[in-house]
Amino acid sequence: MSTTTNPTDVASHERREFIRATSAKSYTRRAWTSRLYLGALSVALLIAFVPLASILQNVVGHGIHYITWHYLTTPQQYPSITNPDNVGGIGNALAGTAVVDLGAVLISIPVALLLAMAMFEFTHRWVSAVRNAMETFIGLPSIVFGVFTYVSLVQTTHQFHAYFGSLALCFIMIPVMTINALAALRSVPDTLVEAGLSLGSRPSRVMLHVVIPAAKSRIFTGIFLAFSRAVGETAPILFVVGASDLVRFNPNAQATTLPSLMWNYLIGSYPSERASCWGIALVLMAVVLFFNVLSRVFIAFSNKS
Amino acid sequence: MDVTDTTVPPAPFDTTADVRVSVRDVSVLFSGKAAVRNVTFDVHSNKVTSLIGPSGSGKTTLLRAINRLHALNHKATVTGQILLDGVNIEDSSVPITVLRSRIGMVFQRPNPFPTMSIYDNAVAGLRFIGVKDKKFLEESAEKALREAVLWDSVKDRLKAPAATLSGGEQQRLCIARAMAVEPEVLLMDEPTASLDPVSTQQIEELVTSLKEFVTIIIVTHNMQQAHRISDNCAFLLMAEDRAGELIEFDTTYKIFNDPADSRTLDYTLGRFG
Repeated sequence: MSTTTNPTDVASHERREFIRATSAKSYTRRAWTSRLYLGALSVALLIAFVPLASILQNVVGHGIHYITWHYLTTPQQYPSITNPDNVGGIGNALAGTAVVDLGAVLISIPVALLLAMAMFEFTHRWVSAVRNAMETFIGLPSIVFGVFTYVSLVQTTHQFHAYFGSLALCFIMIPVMTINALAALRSVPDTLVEAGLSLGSRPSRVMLHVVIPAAKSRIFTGIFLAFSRAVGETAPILFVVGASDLVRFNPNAQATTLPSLMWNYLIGSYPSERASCWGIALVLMAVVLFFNVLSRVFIAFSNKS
Repeated sequence: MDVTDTTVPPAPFDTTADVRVSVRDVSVLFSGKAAVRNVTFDVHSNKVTSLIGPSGSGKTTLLRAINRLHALNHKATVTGQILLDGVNIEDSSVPITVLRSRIGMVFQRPNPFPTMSIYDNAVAGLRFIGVKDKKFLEESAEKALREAVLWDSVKDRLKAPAATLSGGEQQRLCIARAMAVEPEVLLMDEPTASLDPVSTQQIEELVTSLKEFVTIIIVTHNMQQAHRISDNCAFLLMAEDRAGELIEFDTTYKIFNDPADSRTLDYTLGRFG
């Protein structure tokens, strides 16, 4: 057994006392620093909370009496001088939003997943170029995609379709989904991939049966995140989906969406139209909240199992 | 230093020795479900006390309670009392940071801070506490690295990243890091579980030499290791409801040669585990 000789250890007891004293001293200081920052945090929370609460209070206060089955399912009406309160419901816009967003999700998910898998699997230098392009896309103002879709689709075909809006939304959803899915795939430990490959399986098998299941909950988080972002978008779809006052679910026809109906009502000339915006705002908020809560529940559930 | 040598007369459990850590009726519950139940034993000053038992018997859970690491997990509750030099470690007069500087911990996998150099790792604890005196830090680093028997191999490359060390060296660096804040107790959670036999032997020798400076509580899966390095030994076993219970606590000699409980004998003979 080796005994340690220690030339610097002149007074071990004193060293220990010094360290304990320093620790206790810094604890007192840190306790005060902690209180200070907790105070600052409370103020910051208040600053963040007051506008949020006031928005909530306004939207719910002004909008809640609109929320009836009739309002949600019947199409918009047009007020006139003889009938100034005739705004009708928002059924056509709700249906239009559902069609546009559902279309966008259905196109985005496979594209984003395939892209993420390819970027995970291949180490070509183009991969990082694609990645950089995606990150740039996430930062671009969404109206750019609206204008691009307008110029490339509406101006060339001279038509408006709901699915043009879906395509425009894809520019927003695909980058968010891909970047998140890629991060999810890369978070799976290499040893799992190696264990799979060591069994003699093809990389595609390992991807489908090992990597994706392990990354599942994070991939879904990215999908929900992308969806929540896209639901509230107005700019990309404003010019390309046209307008429709029919409650229909046809991606090939024109459509009115919640944000665009809101925009039309805001610049409309009847007070009843402007008042109806509160109802639309409440519905939009509820939809976004619903999907956020759904994604949280989903993540909590998949973490548990 | 060979405890298997039966010519050494077995010392009985010393009830008069200095008690450094006293575990009193301690249970640890996760979400209300017991992982460790009603464990009581005393840890003597400057001795090595080992916690042995099969997987799931609550050894690590118990060890972490002594450092109050369960405070990080809001689902965990610790009942009973753990006394350090007679003072309850949950006592509000003892700041948790001061407590943890008195009770060091070494983990299963070597975990030197990856972005720090060897030297920075060795003095990390002191810097976190707020020690600024450069000379004091340098002395402490040398002292701790010597105590961890690492000084001679790293003294010329103290500025090198800690990740350049081998696994065994990294673990000794972690021991040095823990020793630098001059703890009174050192908790070791299977410190050799991820090391090769040579490194394992070095760490075992190190543990024995560190007794001079600290009181050591070590969790180990390896019965031979407990046999070789510990003075006293606690044997834990999982009860029907999967909660760990203390079956027997005695001198290591007694546990391995003349245990009071037949389950202890079965375990130390390798009949299960």
